[in-house]
Amino acid sequence: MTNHLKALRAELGWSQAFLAERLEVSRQSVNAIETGKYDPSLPLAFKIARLFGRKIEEIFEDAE
Amino acid sequence: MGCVPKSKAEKQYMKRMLVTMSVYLVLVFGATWAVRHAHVKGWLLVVCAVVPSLAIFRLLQVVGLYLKEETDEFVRQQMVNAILWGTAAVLGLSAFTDFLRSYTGTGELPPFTMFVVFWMVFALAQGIQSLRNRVGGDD
Repeated sequence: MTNHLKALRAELGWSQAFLAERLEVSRQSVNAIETGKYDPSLPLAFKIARLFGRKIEEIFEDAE
Repeated sequence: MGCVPKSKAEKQYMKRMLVTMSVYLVLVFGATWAVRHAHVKGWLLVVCAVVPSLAIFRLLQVVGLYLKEETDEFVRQQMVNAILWGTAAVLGLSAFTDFLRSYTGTGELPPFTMFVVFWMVFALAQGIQSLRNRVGGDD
């Protein structure tokens, strides 16, 4: 799965630490998601989508 | 587990682990002293053998509680990975030594080897994951 988290975060001028705080996860988690090392669970993906006011599929894309 | 600041679950885990390990050390030294110097026999000897392992059960419970309480799924997954690495090492090593013992009559490991191997591989796996997933400067 690929995602546009880093770009969306940059658009809003948010730091990883700020996003992590809003999502109630560690900065390590945000970094892992952004770099594609970790695919978030559905509840976390929904939380991210809600935070950015987007649909999940606008943030996360199937790599295939 | 290696990132700062620590989550509430991680702080609890460290606190519980510290207490449990302290109790474990007291129990091990106490039991060893009782067996070697007080020369306990019979059911007391069995009690001395069992008591330190109770702390180990608590230790495993502490790990389980952490997995239950940690709300950061990525951090939790790292812990699960480390547990799987430790388990794989113990099962692999015990299968190897069991075959060796069955076929050659050799390969018996000293007591507690598996326990030490589990925690060493567990710690190693956590260290490797922390290095792999370290974060640089924030942008």
